Amino acid sequence: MSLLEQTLNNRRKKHNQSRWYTKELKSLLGNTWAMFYAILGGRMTGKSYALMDYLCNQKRKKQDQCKLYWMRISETSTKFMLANKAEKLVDPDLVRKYRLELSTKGMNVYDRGKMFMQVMPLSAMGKLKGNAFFDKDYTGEIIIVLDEFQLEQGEKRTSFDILYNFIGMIENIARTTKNKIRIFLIGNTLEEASGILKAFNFLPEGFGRFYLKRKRCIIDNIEPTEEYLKDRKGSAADILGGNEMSNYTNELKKDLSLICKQRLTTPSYLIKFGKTKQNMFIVWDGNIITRYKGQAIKSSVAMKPYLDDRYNPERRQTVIDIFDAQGYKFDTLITLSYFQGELQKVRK
Amino acid sequence: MSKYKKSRRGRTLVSKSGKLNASNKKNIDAFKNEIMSSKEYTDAEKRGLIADLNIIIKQRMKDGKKLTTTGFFGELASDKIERMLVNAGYSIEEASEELGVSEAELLDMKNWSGDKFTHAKDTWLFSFKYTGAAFTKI
Repeated sequence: MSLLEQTLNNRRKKHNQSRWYTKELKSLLGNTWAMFYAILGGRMTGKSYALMDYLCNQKRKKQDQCKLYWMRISETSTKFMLANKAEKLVDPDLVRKYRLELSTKGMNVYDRGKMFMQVMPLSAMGKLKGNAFFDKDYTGEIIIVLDEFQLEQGEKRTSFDILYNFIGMIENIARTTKNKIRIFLIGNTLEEASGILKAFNFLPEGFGRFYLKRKRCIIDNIEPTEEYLKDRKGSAADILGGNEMSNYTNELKKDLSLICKQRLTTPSYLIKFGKTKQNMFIVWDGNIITRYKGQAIKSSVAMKPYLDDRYNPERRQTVIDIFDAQGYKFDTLITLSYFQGELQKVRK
Repeated sequence: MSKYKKSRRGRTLVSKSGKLNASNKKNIDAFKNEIMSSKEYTDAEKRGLIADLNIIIKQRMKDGKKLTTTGFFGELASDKIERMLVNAGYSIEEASEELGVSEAELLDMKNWSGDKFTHAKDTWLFSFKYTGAAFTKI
């Protein structure tokens, strides 16, 4: 065995052994230029645990110079976390490690009477708007965590736009802060990508760490380790769900056959789902869809009424039929994801 | 037969005082190609190793220190004994074959005292020799 093979074997062994996310989080945090840290992984990799450990550590070190916010999508889950002196918020071994004595009042969690963390639901964004979260004289660090930001399959779709509410929440807390702010997004990879992930205009098609410098974002798509897969084999969840469930395998399943990278020449027509450019798509050469960037085009199809355009139910149905028959191709996976999302909204 | 052994130091990637000359650059490119051509490993694994190589090269240039291919592998070794063997130019398999001991025995800290390795009443001294030999039987 050569030295190269020995080194690569050692690295592979080490990777397979490092089942828990704690070490990876340290290397992730080394990227100080980033503001958003999206951590996607199968279940039981210790994502939330590693992050909670980091938060407790930061709070202990910096005390008043560190504000912590833990968010969940729905109010039910935050209530569940805050119940019984925030019993389900911090893991019991971390409570012992950092000698926490937690108590709660409303959304606030206190440690020995001192502010520890605020636990907020995204659904309450409207109600929390205008509250004095932001302190202009505060010079410390702000850490925001949005846990379980991808809705589970079969979980009731929210009546609000998650991305819009999340932006609203960040605006409430941090206003225009650009430095000393870290926003963590934790979730499982599901068949469907969430709105927040789509907002970065990037979907991880493979495992690994993706650096989006312009968006100040790092997406860490964690590959399940051999140890985890070995551990999971034969468990109750494995017997019932098999090894195909993506929130365990962490695989983003998308049909890449609909992606077309050919050169686009003639714009055919515009498909409108809303009044803004973000909700419009342009069809090139008869069947290739890209996102609309303000190109001059005469023909358009309004997918719903009141868009200041002619609404023809038959033309709308034609677009849906072509999509269902996989007649459209897309320039990127992200366009496909956006288009599919808009179409689902229209079809309700 | 010459008493000198072939050098196991490997190719120079960064020269003395942290300088990077044309031949170093050529060596780096060749080394990266060598890493990418190994078939048993995934692309991510190979790219990860190359990323580490780039970081170590930058660091050595900053510190003004020399780096060779064996030195690079030594830096990534998982424990002290392995690092010493790798820096001497040996993989664990090669060293254990030459010494006639098993890999586990070679990596066992109990068999070591300083730079001396003892196994079944035989002792080998691991120290630098101008002849190129990594170890000599005492």
